[in-house]
Amino acid sequence: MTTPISYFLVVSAMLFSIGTIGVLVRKNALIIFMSVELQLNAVNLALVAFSRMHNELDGQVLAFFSMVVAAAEVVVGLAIIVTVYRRRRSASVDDLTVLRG
Amino acid sequence: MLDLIWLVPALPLAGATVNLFLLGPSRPGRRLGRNGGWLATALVGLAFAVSVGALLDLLAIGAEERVHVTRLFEWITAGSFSVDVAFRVDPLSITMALVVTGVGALIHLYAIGYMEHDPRIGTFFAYLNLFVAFMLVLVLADNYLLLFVGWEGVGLCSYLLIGFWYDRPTASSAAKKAFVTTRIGDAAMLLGIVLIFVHLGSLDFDAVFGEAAGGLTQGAATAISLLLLAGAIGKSAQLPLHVWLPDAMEGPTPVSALIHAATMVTAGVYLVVRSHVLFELSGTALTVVLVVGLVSALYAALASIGQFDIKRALAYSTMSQIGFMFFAAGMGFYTGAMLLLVCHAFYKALLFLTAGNVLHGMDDETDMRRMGGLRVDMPVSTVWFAIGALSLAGIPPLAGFFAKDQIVSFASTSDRDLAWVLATIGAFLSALYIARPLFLTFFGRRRNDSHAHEAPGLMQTPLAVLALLVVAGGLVLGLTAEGGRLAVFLEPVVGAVEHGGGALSEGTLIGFSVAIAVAAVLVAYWVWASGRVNWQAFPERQPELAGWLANAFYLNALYAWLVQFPGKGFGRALRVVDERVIDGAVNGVADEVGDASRLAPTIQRGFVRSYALAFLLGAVALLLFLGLRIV
Amino acid sequence: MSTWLTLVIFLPLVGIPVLLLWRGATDNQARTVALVVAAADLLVALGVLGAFDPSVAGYQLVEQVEWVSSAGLSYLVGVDGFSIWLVVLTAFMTPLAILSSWRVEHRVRLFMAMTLLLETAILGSFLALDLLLFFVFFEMLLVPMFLVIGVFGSERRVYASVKFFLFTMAGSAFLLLGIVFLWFQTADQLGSPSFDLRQMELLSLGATTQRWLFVAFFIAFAVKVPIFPLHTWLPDAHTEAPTNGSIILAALLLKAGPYGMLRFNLDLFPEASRSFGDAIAMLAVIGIVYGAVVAMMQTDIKRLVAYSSVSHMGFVILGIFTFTVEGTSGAVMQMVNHGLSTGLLFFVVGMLYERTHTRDIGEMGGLAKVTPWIAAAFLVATLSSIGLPGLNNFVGEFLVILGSFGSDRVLGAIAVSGVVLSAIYMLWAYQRTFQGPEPRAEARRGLVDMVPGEIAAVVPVVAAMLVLGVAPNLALDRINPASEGVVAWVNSVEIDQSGLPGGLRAELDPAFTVQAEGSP
Repeated sequence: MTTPISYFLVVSAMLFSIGTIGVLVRKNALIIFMSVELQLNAVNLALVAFSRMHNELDGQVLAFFSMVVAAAEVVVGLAIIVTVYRRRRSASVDDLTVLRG
Repeated sequence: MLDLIWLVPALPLAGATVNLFLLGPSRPGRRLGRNGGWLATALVGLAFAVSVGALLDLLAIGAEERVHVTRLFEWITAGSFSVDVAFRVDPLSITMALVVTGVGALIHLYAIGYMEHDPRIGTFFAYLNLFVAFMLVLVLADNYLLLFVGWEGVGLCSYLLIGFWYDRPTASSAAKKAFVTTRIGDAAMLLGIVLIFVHLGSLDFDAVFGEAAGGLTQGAATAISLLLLAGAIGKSAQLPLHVWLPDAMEGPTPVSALIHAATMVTAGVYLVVRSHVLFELSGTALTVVLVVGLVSALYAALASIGQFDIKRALAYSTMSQIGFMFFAAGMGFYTGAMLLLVCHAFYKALLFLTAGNVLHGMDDETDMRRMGGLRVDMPVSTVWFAIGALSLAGIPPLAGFFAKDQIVSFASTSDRDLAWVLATIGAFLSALYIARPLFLTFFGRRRNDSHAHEAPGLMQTPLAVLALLVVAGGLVLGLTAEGGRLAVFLEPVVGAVEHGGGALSEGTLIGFSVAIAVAAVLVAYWVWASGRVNWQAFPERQPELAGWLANAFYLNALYAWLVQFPGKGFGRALRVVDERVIDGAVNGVADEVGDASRLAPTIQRGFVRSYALAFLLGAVALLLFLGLRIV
Repeated sequence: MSTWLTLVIFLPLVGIPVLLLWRGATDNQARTVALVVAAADLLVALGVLGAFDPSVAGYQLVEQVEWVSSAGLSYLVGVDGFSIWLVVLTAFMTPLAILSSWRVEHRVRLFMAMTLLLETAILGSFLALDLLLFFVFFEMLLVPMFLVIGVFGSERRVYASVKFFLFTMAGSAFLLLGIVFLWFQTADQLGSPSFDLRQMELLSLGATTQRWLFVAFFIAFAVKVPIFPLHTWLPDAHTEAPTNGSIILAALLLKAGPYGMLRFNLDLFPEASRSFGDAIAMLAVIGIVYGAVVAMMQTDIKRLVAYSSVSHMGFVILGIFTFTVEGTSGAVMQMVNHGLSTGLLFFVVGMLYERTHTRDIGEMGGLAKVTPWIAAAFLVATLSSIGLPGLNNFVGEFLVILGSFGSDRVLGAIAVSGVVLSAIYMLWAYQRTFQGPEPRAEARRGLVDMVPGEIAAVVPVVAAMLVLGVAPNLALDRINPASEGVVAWVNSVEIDQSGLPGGLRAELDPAFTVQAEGSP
């Protein structure tokens, strides 16, 4: 069955936008992380869609790369957030202003 | 002996070294110091002997070939420029050398007694010897650059000696003033020397004077001559670079006698006479020499009459006499100028040293208003001063008569009527201004209470010799303008002088000169010694005129003002420019960079979400850029 | 391959590990180590002088060791008429500088180490023929100087040292740009890239390119000279530096600028040099007069001497840009002369400061009565500085003026006024400081005359000044061949041609034959 690629791309774009807005608007660090995951997955979707379109495996391989990197990044990021939460009793990103110029 | 001419400057130089290091500032012992003085005197005397030997050798050569150049070594070589240390013995230079060493030795001898009590007597004689050494380098040099070495060297020694008693602020200021004023002339002279090389490719006298006619345009010759003249004006204290000479009297009297009467100040005359070829190529320059000399002579004569300090009166009289020398040279009468130079050395030294006797006897009093009637206490000095003064006034048969009379006569015969009139006025004034200190100091009523004592024998001996020279010198050297021994001797160097016929016969002229001189002396006697004229009231009755005379027409004040306002004002302005503007720009740049650097971190507000937005915008921009470019 | 030059450059470095690692050394031992090393270097420098052949015009005693061959970077040093006397001067003045700071008490080891490092850096600058190597040494001398001024100086030392460092480094940034550009040119034109000066002499550069490169190189050197109006770092640096630092700064560091101009600007960019020559000569003369006039207005004696340096260096630059042999030789001689006379001046001023603890001329006075030998030393230095014939500076100044008359007489005439102005401010300073009535008893405390250590430092300098004044040909004989070479080269090119014939240098100057890569 040939679903037009544009459907996948639109969905991917919508997911990406939701994720971006989430990163920009939300204050809770965990929510921001989830939004970033959303962005990454949106990109994965687009990659797979293109791979299907070109009938080559490059996009799917790249999607695997992306997933691995996302996983690693989540590990590190969550560790940082948890530590920060333990110190400051707050998960709000707006309170993390120590490194201001 | 001619090849050993380098000994002449070397001997006093050795004396200077010995005196400076062995007997100098750290050993003020008097006995040691007196020995230093004897050593210094002996060396100058020895230099005189060598000069005499050189003279005899020179006379043995035929008149037209009396030039002997001794090359010592190559001094400076770069590119096409090369100059050697080379000494020249010819009639002109040996005459100067004999005067410098002869009169110099006598003054050294005098100074042994005069400076006896000074703790730094060793240093004094070191400087005095150094001066003689440099002066000899000046007159014996065979090229302009070596002459310049001597030229500046005597300026240095003048500085050291004027400021010898440096704990007196007036002395050190006078020394600095002398050095700086003459340096202005020296700077111009240096330019002249550079120009000589640029045009003629050499600085050796023979080359320069030989090539000059072919190699120099009249304009170039004028430029060079005027620049050299500027140096001469400075060194010889002529207008307008004369202001240092009266102040130079702060130095010890032997210094005034040697440097500021007999030798250094005559260096300018020597320079002009030596360079006469260049001056003649440019007619204008000679005229300038004449005018400068005449104006300086008259100006100084008037100023001298207004001075109450005996040394300052003599200083202005020196300036006036040198003005006469320049006047003679400007007319082309070089032998006359040289005769006056030599005779002046004798009688001026005599006058100054006698004034030294007076200072010595009067406990360093120099104001003539507090002297008077000293002939009772100091009869011998009176005789010396009278001889010197009458000679300067031009009373025959003393030396000054021959010298001055020949110059004035020459002016009358050379078709320069205005100059002759002015010169005659100058002659009258000079007799007047020199008779004045004679009468003020030694004659008339005593105006002081202290008992002045006569100078000791050691100091009187050189004065006796000088007096003898004054009495006999004129007769020996310059009986007539054309046939006098000195004139004939110098002729190969300076060229033959044409004495035109004039309206008046020679006898009339001589009679006229003598009459003027005698008249002036009598007037001086009447005003200042006879007691019939209340000269002391003159400054109150005529304060303005007295002020003009006493302050030498306020030229000194004018220069001081010029230095202060345009001079220092410019300096202050530049300093402000340097600190506020230029450095301000530098510091301003630094401040701006600092401010900008402080601005930059403000984008780091620590607000994570704005960072995120920045990422987004950046990524969009990058994509747009890549996308649009690739397309 | 001879090793004279490497020896003379790096011998001072030997002292540094000794100084820094020998923990138990007393201050005196540290000073002695430094002095011994510096004196040894002086002997080596004299050896270099002895090995120098005055009749050869090109580079001598050349040493070359490949460093990064793919980049054409090698350790390449050589000496010629321009650098030989600067090397001797450096080796001569460094022991003097060490002697002058004998009484500094705190952090002596660091002080001495920095002085030795400076000596190496300066010598390297004068001897390097590889452009990047030159740049390394040129920048190397900034750091120890910065430390010397910043740690051991007077009240405003931090400001002065930072200013000096940033100002000089900013100028050098342009130099680096120029060097790299030239490197690329060698890669293009000669096939393989090289920083070798002798290779770069073979480049043919368009007129515009030359001019830009000239300006780039010139800015760096002009800051060092310093040329008006890039001079404002100098008064502060000289004044705030300790005596040691002032002496090295004035006598040696200042020479790196004009040396660079002679070695690089004139050699590599002859056409541009001629085009800019008049403007630069004018700047130089402005500097002469300006430096002198501002010096007259100073009340701080060190600042006065600093401004006098600006004035004197104007003569050097004027001489270089006359493009005459007389002017160039005169300029090189002036570099040495100025080093001696200003070095001595700072030495004496340092002696005064140690005793009176003030630099203000108004607070001094009558010192000649108490310290006659110091007065005498100052007077001799003054007389040399104002160009009294018979002493050294006269020869250089005269030659420069003579040379300037070959190009612009008005400039020469204005330059001569410097002679009068310098007499005015120096004699004024001498009068206010040394002459006048004796100071009162309480002011006289601590005023001792020169001690033997100081006399030992002063006498050689005075002797050198006399010798150079009376027999300057001893120096000029070695300088003239190099001057003649550069002047002939610069004057041989036409101005305003778009391309210059390459290899012209080799045709004109057989002495400057290029060595094949890799062989000494």
